Amino acid sequence: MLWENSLVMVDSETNSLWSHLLGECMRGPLTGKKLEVIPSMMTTWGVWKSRNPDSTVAVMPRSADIYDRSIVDIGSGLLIGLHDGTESRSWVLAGLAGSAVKLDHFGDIPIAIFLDQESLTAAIFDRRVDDRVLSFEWNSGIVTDSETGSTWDLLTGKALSGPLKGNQLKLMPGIISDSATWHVYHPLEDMSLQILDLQVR
Amino acid sequence: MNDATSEPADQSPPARSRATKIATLLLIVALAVPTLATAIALWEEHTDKAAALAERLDREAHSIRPDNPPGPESFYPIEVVDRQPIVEGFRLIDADDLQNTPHDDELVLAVRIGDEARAWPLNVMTGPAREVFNDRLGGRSIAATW
Repeated sequence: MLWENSLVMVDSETNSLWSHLLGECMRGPLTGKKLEVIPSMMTTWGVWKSRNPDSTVAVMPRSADIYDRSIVDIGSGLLIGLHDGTESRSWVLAGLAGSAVKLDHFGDIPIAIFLDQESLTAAIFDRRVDDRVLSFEWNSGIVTDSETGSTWDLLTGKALSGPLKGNQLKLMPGIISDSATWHVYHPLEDMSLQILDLQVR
Repeated sequence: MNDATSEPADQSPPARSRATKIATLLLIVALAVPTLATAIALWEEHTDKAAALAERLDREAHSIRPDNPPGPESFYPIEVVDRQPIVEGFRLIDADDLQNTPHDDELVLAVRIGDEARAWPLNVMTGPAREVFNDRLGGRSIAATW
């Protein structure tokens, strides 16, 4: 089933209809119930495997052969968004190109939005470690925090060296979406922030 | 005193008259059944049209606008394909199974929960029969979709 050209999930137990982008039941006996969005990444298998060598992979015959790195275009209007039922925010990937790390807030949570320039993998992390808020800088492929100078891998959120080595940032449930679909589901989002992002560049 | 002309007439109708009444009744029934069916069909059509109109007005009243987020009132999905079998119980392989894992530049949706990590290649999660993968990871029941 489709609604506004987006997938609608149906549960076999109650035949309720669920929005896959919101994780919310929109019609049927479970209307109003929400599923928890689990933090995930959309990336290349090579990037994922390099950071998660213990990963398993689901195997079925391919039903398409077009989804590889070559179709991820920085100018295609893709964004990474967050929503928690009351607030939604999104950041277009084009607004992140060239800067790699953007510092922002989602509600009261200080966050870092990271874009890996090579694979164009986007991720959002909570940038608090032990109640300390970190500020990240990206320089020639190396991410450091201004507070301690520790270096970080923002594809995993792990500190690689320095005083904070071994610490792990919390991955936020960012969702990769095309802009048009996202804004159908989140029409109240303030677009002026997005426009500012692009103008600053 | 009896008057021959005032004798009571025979009260039972002649057999011919009774047959006429039965035939008339059957005719009425025969005519009424299709008329009733037509009336029911018209009523159902009217009801369907009324329901469709109500649904359209409801949609228009709750159409997606910048000031109107989606909700149950505006959520009227369309069925584009027949209901598909549930995707579950698929095969899992390790990342070092180089013969069966995706190519390095193929896109995947990937998750780590606790000590377990899993990837679902987008080239496998495409098409009406593959939109939602029901799975378990890190002790949790999850649905992977994109």
